[in-house]
Amino acid sequence: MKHLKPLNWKGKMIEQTVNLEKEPEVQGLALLPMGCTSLFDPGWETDFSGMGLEGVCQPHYRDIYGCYGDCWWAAQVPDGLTNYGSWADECPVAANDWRKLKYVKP
Amino acid sequence: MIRRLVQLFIFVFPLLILSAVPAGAAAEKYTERVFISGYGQIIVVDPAAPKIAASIKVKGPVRDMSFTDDGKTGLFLANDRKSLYVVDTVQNKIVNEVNLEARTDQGLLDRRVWGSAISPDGKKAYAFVTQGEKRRSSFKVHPSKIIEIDLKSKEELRSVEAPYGTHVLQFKQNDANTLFVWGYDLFELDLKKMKLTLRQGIKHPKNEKDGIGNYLMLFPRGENGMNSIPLMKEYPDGRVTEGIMWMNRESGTIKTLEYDREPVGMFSAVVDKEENYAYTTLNKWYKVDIKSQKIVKESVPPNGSLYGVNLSADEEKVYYSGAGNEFIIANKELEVEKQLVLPTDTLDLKVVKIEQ
Repeated sequence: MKHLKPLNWKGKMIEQTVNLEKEPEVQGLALLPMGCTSLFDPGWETDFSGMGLEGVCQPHYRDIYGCYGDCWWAAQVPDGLTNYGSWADECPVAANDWRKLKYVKP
Repeated sequence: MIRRLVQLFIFVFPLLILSAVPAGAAAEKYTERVFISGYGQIIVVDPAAPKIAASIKVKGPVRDMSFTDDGKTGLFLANDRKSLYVVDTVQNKIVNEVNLEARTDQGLLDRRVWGSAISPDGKKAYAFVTQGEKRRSSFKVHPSKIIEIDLKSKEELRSVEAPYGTHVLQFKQNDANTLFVWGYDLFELDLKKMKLTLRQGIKHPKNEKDGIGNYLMLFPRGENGMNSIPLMKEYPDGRVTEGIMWMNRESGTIKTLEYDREPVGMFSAVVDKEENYAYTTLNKWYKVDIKSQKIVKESVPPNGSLYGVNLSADEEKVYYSGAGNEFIIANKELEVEKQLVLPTDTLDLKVVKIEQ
């Protein structure tokens, strides 16, 4: 926040209200609802050692529920913990039943 | 003379038979079952056939699985990490369900479990929860903590704050008063005092020269007394290595090895009881000689990535499941012997000895 300057009266009001000197109290996990902010383990599957995609699950659909259920890839698959808990209910095997997966409108 | 011989036969023969049976065999009388975390169901496999012994319906994806010492009761986390299901593993039916959401004076307490364990006697459950209170126009964050739940009354008995990143709770073997708490580092919870202490820094080691450890504790092991997991280590000079970390659940001693290969991001590992070999899985299967720290056998899963590897109860076979909808039995040379198609995709597998 130190590099931001308020331009209008609302911003100035926030600056007066918030104690900028105080250390932030919020941590990653604490940002609830519980869903997709609760996991933060970046880099496990994503090529931190420069090997391309070798570490990514193959074929991709074998990993889709592992990612969806706990929000590992929250941008790529619906959030299974908070908003789209029934997304895959009619598709128990991703490889066989993928046509039954529902569309989601975020 | 004949009468004496008959008498001798009657008394001595049973003794001879009894002495021929190994002392541990009676105590080791068990039924082996593999519990697989499916989607909307817990899949119970009889690996001897192999066949599906039961499908136990629950809500949502199944996550943590833990069992009592006798294997007759299991605790399963499902319902988007909100509910703990207590399962009678002999009859394969749900006997209790604990939902951790609750009403408060001002709103709804939303709790999600990231690591749970049933006590060895099956009377209590322990769960690490992240929690927040949804009020009408605001959201209040509450600290993450480990809660103790009485399974009969479903009441929360005690709790202790626990750090962010906690993911696995696991009882110390033969000690119902100590719970290992796996997060970014390893903690120990003294259940008598309900006091949490750091046992060993892994992501935050005492000396960074020893390497900063990173591990994906989604697939804990420990049925054979060894909790094991693939371990990535990053050193101050930029080197990144892959290997295995395992802990003896009785002594609490942690050991690690690093094999001489480029890291590929293995998901789970299992170490045999004698600590001779380890097996790892994801896009490849490795058999690792623990003494030499070398990969002595390498193979490729037949249908694609597999998250979970485990050993059969007698440690003669290697079991794989997790990710796709199959259960695979391989020999210890990583050759597939049998495959069983499952009704849903899966996450992990646990091998349980159910006492007879």
